[in-house]
Amino acid sequence: MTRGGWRPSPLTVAVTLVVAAATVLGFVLTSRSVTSQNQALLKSDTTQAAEYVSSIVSTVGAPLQALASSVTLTNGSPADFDAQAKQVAQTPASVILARKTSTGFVVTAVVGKGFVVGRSPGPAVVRTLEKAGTDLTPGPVHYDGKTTTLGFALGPPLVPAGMAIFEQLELSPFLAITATQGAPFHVLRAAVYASESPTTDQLILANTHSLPLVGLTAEASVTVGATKWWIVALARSPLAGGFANAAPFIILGVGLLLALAIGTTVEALVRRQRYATDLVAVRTAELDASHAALVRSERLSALGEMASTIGHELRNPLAAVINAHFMVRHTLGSTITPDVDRLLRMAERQTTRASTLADNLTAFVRQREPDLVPIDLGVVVHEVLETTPPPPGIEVTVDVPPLTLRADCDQFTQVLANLVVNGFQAMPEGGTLRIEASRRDGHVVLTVADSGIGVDATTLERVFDPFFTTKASGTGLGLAIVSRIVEAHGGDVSLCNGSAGGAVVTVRLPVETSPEMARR
Amino acid sequence: MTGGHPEGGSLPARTRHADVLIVDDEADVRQSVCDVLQTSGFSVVEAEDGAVAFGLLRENLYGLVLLDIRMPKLNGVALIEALTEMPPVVVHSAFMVSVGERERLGDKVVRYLHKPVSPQQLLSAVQGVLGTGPVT
Repeated sequence: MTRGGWRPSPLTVAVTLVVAAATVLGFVLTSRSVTSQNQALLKSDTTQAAEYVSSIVSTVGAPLQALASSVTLTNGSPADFDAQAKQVAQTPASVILARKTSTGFVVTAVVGKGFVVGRSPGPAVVRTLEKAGTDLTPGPVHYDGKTTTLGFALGPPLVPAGMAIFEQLELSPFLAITATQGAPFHVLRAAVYASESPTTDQLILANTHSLPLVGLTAEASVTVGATKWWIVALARSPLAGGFANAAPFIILGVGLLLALAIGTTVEALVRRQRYATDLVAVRTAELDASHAALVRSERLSALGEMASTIGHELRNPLAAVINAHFMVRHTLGSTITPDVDRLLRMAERQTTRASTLADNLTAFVRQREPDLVPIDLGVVVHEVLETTPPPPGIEVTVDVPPLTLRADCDQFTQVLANLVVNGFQAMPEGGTLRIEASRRDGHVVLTVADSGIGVDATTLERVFDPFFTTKASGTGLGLAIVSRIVEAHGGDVSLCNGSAGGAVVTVRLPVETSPEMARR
Repeated sequence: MTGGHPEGGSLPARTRHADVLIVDDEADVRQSVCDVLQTSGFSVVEAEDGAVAFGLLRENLYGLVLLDIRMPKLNGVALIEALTEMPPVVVHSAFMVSVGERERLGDKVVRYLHKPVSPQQLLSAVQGVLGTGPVT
């Protein structure tokens, strides 16, 4: 009852796949939720960082505003500017005072380096000065790979009309400066650019060298006076927390284990059910076979009872009739006429036939246990053919090698005699009866084949049933007796049509029939 | 032929009454066997059941008893067991006598004939017990 091997049942596969699919779905949904949460937190932290940077930058404007007030009070005196600006412009910063001319702005005073009095501060600075007003106006930014240069300008009305002041700073973007030491930056890798796109030469500040930032980033604008800088940030570690980030994988792992466990359980249940179903089928088949055997046994028992009664009831009349025939013949003696003699012979012949029927009935009903002795198969065949010679027109061929088996001599002789007589009767027009024997797999296999017309399907099914016969004068007990005797020896008998026509009866008997087997 | 019920016990002093006592409840069988034996010169007495045979056997002596087994009143086996002394018995029955019964009857039965037997077999069995011819 083993089947399936390691191949799981469809139900197991379906259940496992459903649980696994649900697990994967849970994993995806949770991952999305956690990612969304991480993004929201990153956005929030980035915005906070931007505000922080904005507030820090705004503090840069305070000294510059004080300088602007001083410039207004001194009406743009370069000498006074130099004195005041030196307090503002600490290395490496430069501060200039510029006046607007018809060709643009010209430096009128300078503290620091990079600018020359009487000359233009350069087109980029001029564009900044053009926009300068009350709010701190950031100037051009340039990162050369080492240092970032940037500046801020203030203009009228904080300074007299036609004038502007400009502070230019140089800083290393990666040095730990106040702006990148703030709380929001602790959890971020961030960079501040002067442009909206993270262009390297526009880098102002950064707390990481891994630029440009790649991955799940967030951006926020940093308000600097009237313009904006941009901050790009990446979380140093998942902002939603380690457990929240591990949750999808925990769900995936636990879910897949659960799928495996459920699949295993379902498979075990399916196999148990399959085993139980198979067992029920086997037991049902056994019960059916047992019931069929019981029915057959009861039928045979009833038949046997009937046969026994008929057989015995025949014996007394037969005894009287046989004696009566004898007395008639004795009484008539030599005076018997040919007609009376013919009639008497007919009566004696039919009485003998009736006696044979009675003997067959008794043999069928009163089957005794086999008395096992070693017998020579060839000798038995020879004796049977001697006592039952073939009728005219029938040839007998015997191919029996020297074989010895343990069997009841009388019963085995009866088996062979019944088969030989059956074969002869199957060939009323003459033919050939072949008796062959061989030894195979611990059995003696004996076949008796005639060259008659064979048997039809109905006959094949019932040929070993008692009282079943196709002959006009048969008792239907010959093959039934053969079957009983062979089964009592632990063997089996079958009948089929031969390939060349005619019926072939095959008897298989174990070479060494044990007493237990013989009593089965 | 006398009737009577079996009482057991030893037999009184008797003289031989006939060669063969035929005990069979089937009248035709009994008569036909009687005819066959008589044609060969044997003297016979008939009994139609075991009880009648019991009475006859207590009173008379026979060369042998040709005995049926299944009979009303007293069957063949019971008849043999009821008598302590008995002539040789040839069982002549339509029924096979079981191995157990054969063992119980022992050598009181000298031959078992299974009906129907030919007259020759019947005569051969009787002659085998009584000798080649009838007792005189």
